[in-house]
Amino acid sequence: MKSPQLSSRGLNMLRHIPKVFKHPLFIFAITIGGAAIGFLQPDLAINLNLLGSIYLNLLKFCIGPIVLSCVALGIFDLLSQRSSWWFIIRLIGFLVVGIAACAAIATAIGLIAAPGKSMSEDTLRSLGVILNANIVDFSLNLNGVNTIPPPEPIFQTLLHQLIPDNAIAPLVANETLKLIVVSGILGVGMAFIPRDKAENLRSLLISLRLTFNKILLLLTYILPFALFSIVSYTVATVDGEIFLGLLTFIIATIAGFFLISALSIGLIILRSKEKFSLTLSSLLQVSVVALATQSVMATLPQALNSLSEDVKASNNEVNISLPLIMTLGRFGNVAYFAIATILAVFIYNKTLGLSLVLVAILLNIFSGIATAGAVGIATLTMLGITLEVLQIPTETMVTLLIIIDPIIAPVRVLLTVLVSMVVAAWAAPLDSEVKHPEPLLDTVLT
Amino acid sequence: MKNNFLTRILPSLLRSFFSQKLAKNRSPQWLVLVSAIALLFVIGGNWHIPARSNGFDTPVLIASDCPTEATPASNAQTEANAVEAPAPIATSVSNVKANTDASETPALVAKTEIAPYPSDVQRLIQQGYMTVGTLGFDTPPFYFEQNGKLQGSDMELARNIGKLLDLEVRFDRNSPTFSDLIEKTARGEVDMAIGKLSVTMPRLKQLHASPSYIKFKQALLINRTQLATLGGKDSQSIQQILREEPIEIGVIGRSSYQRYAEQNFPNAKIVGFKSWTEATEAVEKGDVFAIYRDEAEIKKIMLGQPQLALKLKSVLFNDLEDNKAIFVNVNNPQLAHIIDHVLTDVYEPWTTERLIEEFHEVFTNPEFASK
Repeated sequence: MKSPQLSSRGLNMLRHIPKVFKHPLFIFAITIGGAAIGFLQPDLAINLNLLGSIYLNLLKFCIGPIVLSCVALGIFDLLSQRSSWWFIIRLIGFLVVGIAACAAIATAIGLIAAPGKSMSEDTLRSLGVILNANIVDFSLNLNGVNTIPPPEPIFQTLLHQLIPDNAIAPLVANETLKLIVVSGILGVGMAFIPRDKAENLRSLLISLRLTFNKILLLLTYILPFALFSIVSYTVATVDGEIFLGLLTFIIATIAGFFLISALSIGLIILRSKEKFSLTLSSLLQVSVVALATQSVMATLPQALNSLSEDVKASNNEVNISLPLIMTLGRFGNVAYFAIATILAVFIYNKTLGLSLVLVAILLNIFSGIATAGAVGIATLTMLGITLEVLQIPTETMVTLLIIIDPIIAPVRVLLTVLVSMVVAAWAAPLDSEVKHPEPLLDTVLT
Repeated sequence: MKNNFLTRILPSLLRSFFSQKLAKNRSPQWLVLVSAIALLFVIGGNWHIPARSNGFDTPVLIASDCPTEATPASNAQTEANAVEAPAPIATSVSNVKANTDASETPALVAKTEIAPYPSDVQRLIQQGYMTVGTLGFDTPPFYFEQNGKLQGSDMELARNIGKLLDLEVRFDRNSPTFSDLIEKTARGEVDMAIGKLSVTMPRLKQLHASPSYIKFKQALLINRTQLATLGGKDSQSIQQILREEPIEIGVIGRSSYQRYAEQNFPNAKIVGFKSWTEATEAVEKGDVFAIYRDEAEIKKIMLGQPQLALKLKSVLFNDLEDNKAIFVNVNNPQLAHIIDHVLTDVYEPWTTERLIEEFHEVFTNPEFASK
């Protein structure tokens, strides 16, 4: 008699499991648990990393098809169905405002926190030990010839990274920037062929996107376990010495980034026509994926779904704009460079005036954007653009940033994702606002 | 007499026999007569093979005729210098040692006459010790005082040389500067000088320099902020700054590096400091662009005072070496030969990596960092 009751209770509980897995408190508990294991049992945490890396690979496996389908469909719809130059102007405007705001807010946070100001001898000593271990002996010929590889101009490098020589290669190599260009060209091409002929490819792209969306949905069920593995691994591999050495800087950066992220969530909620709780819950889920995966593009599918389904922003505009913004608008890097510049200014006792602050903000916008083509640690070397102009030693600063990157990377990704969503949400019209304007393609052709 | 026959009479007879003049009328009787006389001398004689010629015009001593009693230490010493010894008599003895085995023929050694050593070694043996000059200040891990005892790689080397010579080593630390030590050695107040001394032309004019027992590169410790201000970011730009900019480079005053700096950085202003500690403080504050010394001293600062790594950058020169030698007064030629031999054939030269490995505690000790 009891077993049917039990089984129905069990089924009931099973039905609730997905909800439990997505609950913020559960995610928080998992994060704390992962951090504890990483701290107390680092060897176990390193062994557990397998699950996290499998999850990340599965996420990355979905990025290519989703970017391809989103951008191609977005461009195609933009040119052939309904959109306007106004959207493009708004997009550029919000992108510029977003980047400038990130640089300014982060600089202000840096100035308030003043990381690197009057560092203790012990702190400098521990940082020095780390630097000595990481900086290779520099040697040169005083009288002989010193050969160095010629520097590649940033603009040329960016162009080189933008233009693919093979339509399939960017998809295979997960080169997002080139994939966006390939997808854009595909979308433009589709708009130039007869509508009925393009429809087959359009349907295929829609199917592709829906399929991978479903795969992503299924992946969210193993997210907590992956999160546990990723967090524990990160904590196990972080250098405690440097964490203590740059404690003020790390705390200021994390706090500042969370502040900008919270502002972003507020702005998206303000834009959303859905219930506050629903939008907030959706954005928190995106945030968790961003923090866990530490990859902006790995968060793209979730962010697209969140904006389209929960914020109710226009599907086409979001599909086309968000991948582009996430790739080009390196908000996290801009903000990070701003705080790091202030740290360097204090460490090297540079005279801090209004002109220096303004120059630093401008330079950091430029160096942050220059990271668009770079991936991983290479992005941090772009800070050199700012520091060289300000005549601050670059090598030591970049080395320190590289060492603490495992701690900062999650919040930097979070900031980039959420600010990108703000720009896309405010640039794209809401579904309710769409008034079916003239096809952009006609305007272009005439 | 027997020797006269072999060296003079027999060759003369043979020459006559085979000469063109006699060849015409030589007979079998003549041939038999000559052969018989030669055979008689060879069979009947108490034959001795003379020792190998020493190349000098002095009489060659025959081992069996030498009444000298040689000590094992002196035997080893003379063996070591067999080829290079300048004094003819000493060479004779050493050559004998080279062709006979002392352990197998004790009777021969026991009979050897007292062979006078070269005057410098003779003097050291008689006094029982040698005086080693070193600097009055500490430069760990090369020479430094700890727990009341003079220690370091250089001091150990000096003690080992003393051990090989069966001599006590007495250190003279009354030289406040490198130049003082060199002058003291040149005046003969110490038998040899050791203390991370670089080989420079003025020193070579005064003293004998041994082969290198430490092989270093020359190095700079540059103030990072000043380097960034001048736009130094890679090897080419840094090379250009060092060669062309009117920068200030700090060295220990009156050291070999003052001379090196004047030669290698013609456009720079060379600032001589009383001590390396003062020089280090100056570059940290930015009073000078860089300080200049060998790579071991530069690495010692970076490892011993890691807090300076944020402010200072070490640069090693691939094409500028600074090898350290022991200096010996030119009136001690035999001692110089012995030291040369030890450093060439016995001693493995130090490199910075080996020094850091061996003296890691010294290199990472902040107390020793800029000493």
